[in-house]
Amino acid sequence: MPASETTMDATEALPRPRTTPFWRTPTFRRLVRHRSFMIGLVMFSFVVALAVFAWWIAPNDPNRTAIRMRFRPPQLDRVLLLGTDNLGRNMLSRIVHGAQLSLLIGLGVVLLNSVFGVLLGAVAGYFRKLDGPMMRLADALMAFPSILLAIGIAAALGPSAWTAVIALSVVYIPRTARIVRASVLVVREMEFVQAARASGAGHWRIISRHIMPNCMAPLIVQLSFIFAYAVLSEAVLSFLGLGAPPSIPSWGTMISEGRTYIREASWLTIVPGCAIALTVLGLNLMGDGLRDVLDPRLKIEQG
Amino acid sequence: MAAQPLLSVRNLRTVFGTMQGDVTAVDDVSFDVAPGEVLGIVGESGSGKSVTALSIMGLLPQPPGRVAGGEILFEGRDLLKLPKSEMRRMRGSAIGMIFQEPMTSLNPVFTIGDQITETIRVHERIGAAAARVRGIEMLEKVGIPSPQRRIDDFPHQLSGGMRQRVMIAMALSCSPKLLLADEPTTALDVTIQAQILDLLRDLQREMGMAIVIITHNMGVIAEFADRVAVMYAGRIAEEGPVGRIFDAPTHPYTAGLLSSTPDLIGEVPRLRTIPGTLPSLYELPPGCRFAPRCGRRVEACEAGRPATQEIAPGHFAACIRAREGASA
Amino acid sequence: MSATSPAPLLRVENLTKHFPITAGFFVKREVGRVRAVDDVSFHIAQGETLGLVGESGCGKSTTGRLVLRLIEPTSGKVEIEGRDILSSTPAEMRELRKGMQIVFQDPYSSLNPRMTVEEIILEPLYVQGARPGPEMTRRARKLLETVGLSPNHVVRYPHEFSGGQRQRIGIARALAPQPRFVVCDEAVSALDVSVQAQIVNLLQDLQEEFRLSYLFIAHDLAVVKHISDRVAVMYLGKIVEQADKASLYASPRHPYTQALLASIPVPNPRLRRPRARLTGDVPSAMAPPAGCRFNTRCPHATDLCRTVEPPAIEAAPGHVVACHHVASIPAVSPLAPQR
Repeated sequence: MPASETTMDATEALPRPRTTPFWRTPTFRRLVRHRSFMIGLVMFSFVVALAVFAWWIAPNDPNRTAIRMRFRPPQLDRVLLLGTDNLGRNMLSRIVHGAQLSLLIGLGVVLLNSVFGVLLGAVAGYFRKLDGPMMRLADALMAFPSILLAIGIAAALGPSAWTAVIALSVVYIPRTARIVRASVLVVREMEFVQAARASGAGHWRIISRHIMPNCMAPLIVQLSFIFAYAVLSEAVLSFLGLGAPPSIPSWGTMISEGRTYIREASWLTIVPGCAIALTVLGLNLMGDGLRDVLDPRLKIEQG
Repeated sequence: MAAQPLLSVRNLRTVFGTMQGDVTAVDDVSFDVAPGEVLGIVGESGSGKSVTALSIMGLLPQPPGRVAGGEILFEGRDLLKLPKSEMRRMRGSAIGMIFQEPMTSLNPVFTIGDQITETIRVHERIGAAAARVRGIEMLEKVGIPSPQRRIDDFPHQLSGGMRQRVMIAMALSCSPKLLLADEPTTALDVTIQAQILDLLRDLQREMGMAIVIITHNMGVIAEFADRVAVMYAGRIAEEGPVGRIFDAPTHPYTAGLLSSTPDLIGEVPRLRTIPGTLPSLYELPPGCRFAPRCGRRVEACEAGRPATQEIAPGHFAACIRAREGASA
Repeated sequence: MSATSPAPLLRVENLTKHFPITAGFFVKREVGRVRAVDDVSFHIAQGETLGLVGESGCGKSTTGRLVLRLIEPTSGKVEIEGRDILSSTPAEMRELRKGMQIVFQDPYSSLNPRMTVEEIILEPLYVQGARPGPEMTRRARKLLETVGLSPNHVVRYPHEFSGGQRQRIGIARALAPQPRFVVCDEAVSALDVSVQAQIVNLLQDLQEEFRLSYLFIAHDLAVVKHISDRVAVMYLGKIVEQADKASLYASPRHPYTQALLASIPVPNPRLRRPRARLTGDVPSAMAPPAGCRFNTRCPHATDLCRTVEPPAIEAAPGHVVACHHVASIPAVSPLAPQR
């Protein structure tokens, strides 16, 4: 009986729990050891913490004007840590509330990309006949410089936070779709997909159970970059007055308003600028780290 | 052997650094190749056979891999101690190498003429026109039809068999004394494989060249090699003249390999397999590496590395029970 | 073939697949076709193994996939247990697929790296509508045992296994829906010799235990000889010779088969064999030679061979050869030792 031929089962000796939680996988361990990733994670977590605890951190209402408190520079003081702006509004409050806006918009764009970018990419990659026309459409959209396209859409829809999310998503979905499509094209040809077809699996089962789970790595990396891009672009849109309305504090709006006073009160632009830079840099470092760790070449453990 | 061997590998140790620590791919391997002799190195995956060839040529990927010990004497000189420039001069002119995948071994953006003449001109001071003439001669020698036309072809215009012939032409263009052939026919169809092996044998006889051929195919060894070294998990299990090894293998692994190979002639109802699987190079058993799978193991096998026993002149086996006669 | 034997399990007739080559930007025109499989016919009885051999590009893998309808044939007929596969609806196909499965060549890409062994093995059953549960897990464990692996491995992932073990998992997956017919598409070609032998033995044991029929596709004639009952040799999309194992290996009648057998290196250094070698390379399947496709390399080719395609001639009972001159070409034994 064949069993005797495999008595020397090397994997028998390995002790393993029934299902491995993520924090014990080699991927997690590699991430934690990756210096850039951890630095980026710390930076981004800091910004997330600012947004989450905004109501506690903010000394007062970000929109409350106080003419007598105008143009206070940043100082070592709980309330005036980041100073006040030209209308006396507390910069610390505005920054942390602005963080909320930026992160929510970033999240919104990422979510829309995850849904539509993946869907379109999977369909284009899997169904050969649809691939051609869809990619031509994507090419057409990508031919516009991304910021201009975002501005155009935002201008057409009228300024609001939702507009920013939609405009930025429209710009980036073709790119996400392309990346997903590239993975799908590769995975589609693998033998285990043929095996699924030989078992009688239909298209949707093959796409959802067999192809997509194997396309996650480049997608996750891409999504982290999209987040960063969304934060940056939202700032640009707000700067131009096309993003969130003035009643909602936004880093971009803060820069725009502070521009006039850049000589006398430089902190009005520097502080939000640093906030944007910190967020975007943190996300990019995380994305780089993810890309390094999830690189399939590193995954060849056998053979 | 009264004459000095052309190539003498002594106690070669090659190590790869990995995230889980150092892995010894070639562990204390020694063998000789006489001038004009064909030595076959046979083994399965993980046996270290390809790494051995790369170590000899100095073509190990240097960051993870390095030679950690031993000597490689070519015509008496230790290749491991040569300066890089000297080793580069030897490659191609004194020692040639051909690889398994002809498609990736030839540069797709240059014509085969460019690639052959480049090899020639790196080692000999002749002009472009003269090198081209030599190139055409070599192509003709390896059996490429209409060489004057085909010398300007690109690799993708040639079939797999032809590309392998071009590789052979390149490797032999400077008449090396030793040719290392790493699975030269594994990627080719059977009928083309036969043509290439015939070609190699003819060229070998004509040029008096020694060949070290690395393969996992016992049939190729039987028809092509004079002597064979069987490798397992980085060590040589058995070494000797081809006739003796196939007639009466003394190492249980060799015997197992032979009985696992289905016979084209004759018939067995069921193949006699070697139980178990290859050990992971990270978790090697103490003592004899084949012991866990060996039907003839005794306690002493796990104690320490088995000493190489001389069964007959030129026939060695690394098994403490080798002398007891044919294996079970 | 034989008059009194029961109807074959699988009957393939005139199976053809041409792959169109298109060019053009928006509107695709056909500029050529790759004649991958051309008018191939064979049958397999219950519990029998038919070996399908040939070199690369001969169409054997494509044939395997056509038979399971993983690729749509251009024309021809495939019947399994009397039912016509090619005219079945998708719903009927899903039902039929329970009875016919495939084991692939590459152990490293034939298992979904993101699924556990249990999920992989049971996928054919889940596709048919089964729901996960303790009963299914029990079946998965039993299947693992059947192929010689420990049942506790159901929770592991493919990357934790060696090539031979992965191939066993692939075999377990093929067995899950209890098929009658399995296509082994180069199932052992990517394995080391010692592992290959284990898997070959396993396949034979399973065949005996479950009365399976195999279409064993391979390029290694020695392995095919060991495991098959009958063998068909393919060249450039056509079957050139078909016979039971003993006749084919002892007295091949088609010049290509003879050359093939003469080319295989045999692990016996004492054997001196004729050095009759085939010259040249395999022609392209896009422009196969006119007449007999082998005529460009055949030592016996005549004008007839260059113009007319040879019919399938029954040279001996059960031994079919597609060659005009089969009667006059001597049946050499390329495997017999010469002085």
